[in-house]
Amino acid sequence: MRPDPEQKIDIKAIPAWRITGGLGSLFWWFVPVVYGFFALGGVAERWPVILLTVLVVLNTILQASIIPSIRWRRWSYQIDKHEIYLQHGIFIIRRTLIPVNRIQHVDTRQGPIMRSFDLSSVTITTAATTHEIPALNDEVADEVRNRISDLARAADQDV
Amino acid sequence: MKSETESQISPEQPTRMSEPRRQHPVAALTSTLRTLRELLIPLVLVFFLGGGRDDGLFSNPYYISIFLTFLLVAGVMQWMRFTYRVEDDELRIEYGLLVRKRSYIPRHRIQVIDISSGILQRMFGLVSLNVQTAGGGAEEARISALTIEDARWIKENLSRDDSAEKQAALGDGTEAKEKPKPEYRLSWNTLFLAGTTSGSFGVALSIVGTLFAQMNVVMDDDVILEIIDSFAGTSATFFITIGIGLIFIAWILSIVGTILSYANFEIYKRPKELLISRGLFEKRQITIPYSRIQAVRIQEGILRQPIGYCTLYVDSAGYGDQSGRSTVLFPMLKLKDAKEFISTMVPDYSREIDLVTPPARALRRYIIRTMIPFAALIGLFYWLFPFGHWALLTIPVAVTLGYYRYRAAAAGHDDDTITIRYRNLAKTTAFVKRHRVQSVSGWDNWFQRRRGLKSLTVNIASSDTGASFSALDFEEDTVLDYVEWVEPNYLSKPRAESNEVGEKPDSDKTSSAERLLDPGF
Repeated sequence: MRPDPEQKIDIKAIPAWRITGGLGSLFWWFVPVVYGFFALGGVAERWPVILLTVLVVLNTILQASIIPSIRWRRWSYQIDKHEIYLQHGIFIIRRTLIPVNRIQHVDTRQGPIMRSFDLSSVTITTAATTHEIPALNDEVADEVRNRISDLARAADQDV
Repeated sequence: MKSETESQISPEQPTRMSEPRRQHPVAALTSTLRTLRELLIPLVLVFFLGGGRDDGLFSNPYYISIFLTFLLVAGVMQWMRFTYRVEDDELRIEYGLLVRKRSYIPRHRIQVIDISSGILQRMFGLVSLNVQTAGGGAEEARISALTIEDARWIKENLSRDDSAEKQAALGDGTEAKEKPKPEYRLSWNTLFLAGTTSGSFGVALSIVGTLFAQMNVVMDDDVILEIIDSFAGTSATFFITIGIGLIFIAWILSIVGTILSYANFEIYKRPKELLISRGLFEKRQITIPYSRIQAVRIQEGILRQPIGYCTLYVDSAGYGDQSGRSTVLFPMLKLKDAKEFISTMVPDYSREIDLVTPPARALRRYIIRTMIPFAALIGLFYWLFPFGHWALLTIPVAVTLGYYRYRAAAAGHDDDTITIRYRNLAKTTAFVKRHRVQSVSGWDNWFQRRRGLKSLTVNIASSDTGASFSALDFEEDTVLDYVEWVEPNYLSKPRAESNEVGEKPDSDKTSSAERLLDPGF
């Protein structure tokens, strides 16, 4: 059987994900807050407020601490002449193969937080699915994108 | 050029076709009805959900008649503005109320000219003519009502020369025979059987349920109470009676629905495409180019499997402005005839592939996975209804379904085709070509890893979002092998690898090979 993919993504992904994950998880805080209003108004039971609060706080703590490192450790990719392998996942580990001649387009993108860490992600699109290699150093991301698009062009000529 | 063609094929028809001409006035009516039908669902929704009150727009017959008159006037105006003619080897159609549109379709771009007739057309001895072009979809043109002679004249003069079968069929008289012979057609008996075992049952049931829930809009509360009183028994008996009644109505609806859409089902084989024609009142024609087929599926519905029948589907990718979709290749077929059907209609997919099944230790996961949604439903019922504890009776159902899902699960591949068999409710066997796989994943969660199991998901391009087939809880090695199989150079690979990679024992491969052969799995 094939070994795991060789390339790791940039280690700076961990601090970047801590910020994005931590901030993103704040979104869920509105659930206990809204529920709390109802509970105070006497429309709903009070005890779920505590449960919900514990859950969202726990979620934020995990997102800002351990989850980014697990995710980084699990992420690997490999670009071969005919196929691209990705492996990632925290609870569900997923190994994905994308035949190069099925790739329709590939691009890089970057959000504001990723930009402050000089990180970009590469997005690979087929006729059915979209895949992302997140958090590569800007130069690496450009290189990966160009390489994949070169391979895809060459593969198209083959078929 | 024009006069040449005419004199060759039908000298008895003068040049009158080069003059712009209107359709038969019946077209105004058919176009009104078509608009009405397109609006049917919103209208029904407005009527049942919004307009039941006194102030509702459609509770007033006055408004309804204004609305209908408006539609009719629009239909008449459309008829007045619609002209067609045949000129310079082109079908030229001009139409449009405010914006004048011209649609000129040259003969060489016309793929199919289809003559059919609905009820209205038949009443006036007319036909409608449908022109399909290579692009499919938007480019097609339709003349809703014209005489059969005119339609035949257009068909003769605009059919492509290279289509020998079309030319051969032209001599025949009636519209039904005006075509090459279909490879397969659906008999009325089988159609009826298809209706009675149709899977659209659930959909129909939910529609009936919604209407039933809206009953108080149409009926007086007192009347409903009276009806309820007349079922003097316990509340459970009452609900069961109502339930059985609803199921029966839904069943009848699904039979009618199946007959409407799949009556006269015929499938034709052409050099580069399949042509399907179906429908009772409204005839639909679907062309599926072979080059667009992404997957073929055999589906044995839960009511059809016991009587040995199945449905065949084909998934195709979009082209032009037509989006990809899943099409019924044949609605009702004996399972034992499916193999022959596939080898005739889609020979590429006629394969004998050895299947691997998940190991015995996966059974538990299949059962648990099936029980989770059931558990949620049981909880809900228990909480909502006084006699909700009866929902516990569904636990054995869930366990049985989980077991049959496990039994159905299988996968296999040969050099260029992968097959995955799975069951949700219906048992489905999907065939996908290697070069149609857009991406493939092998995945496992924590519980699967503990048991050394993996799942496989194959993604293909069908519809706008794509479609996927999954083989759940197989041996890790099997799944990883299937993932690698998608590599374009998989075939040339294993030999090279076993030479190079010394530390990996070859037993991996022999064991998976043995598994392929071992029927016990």
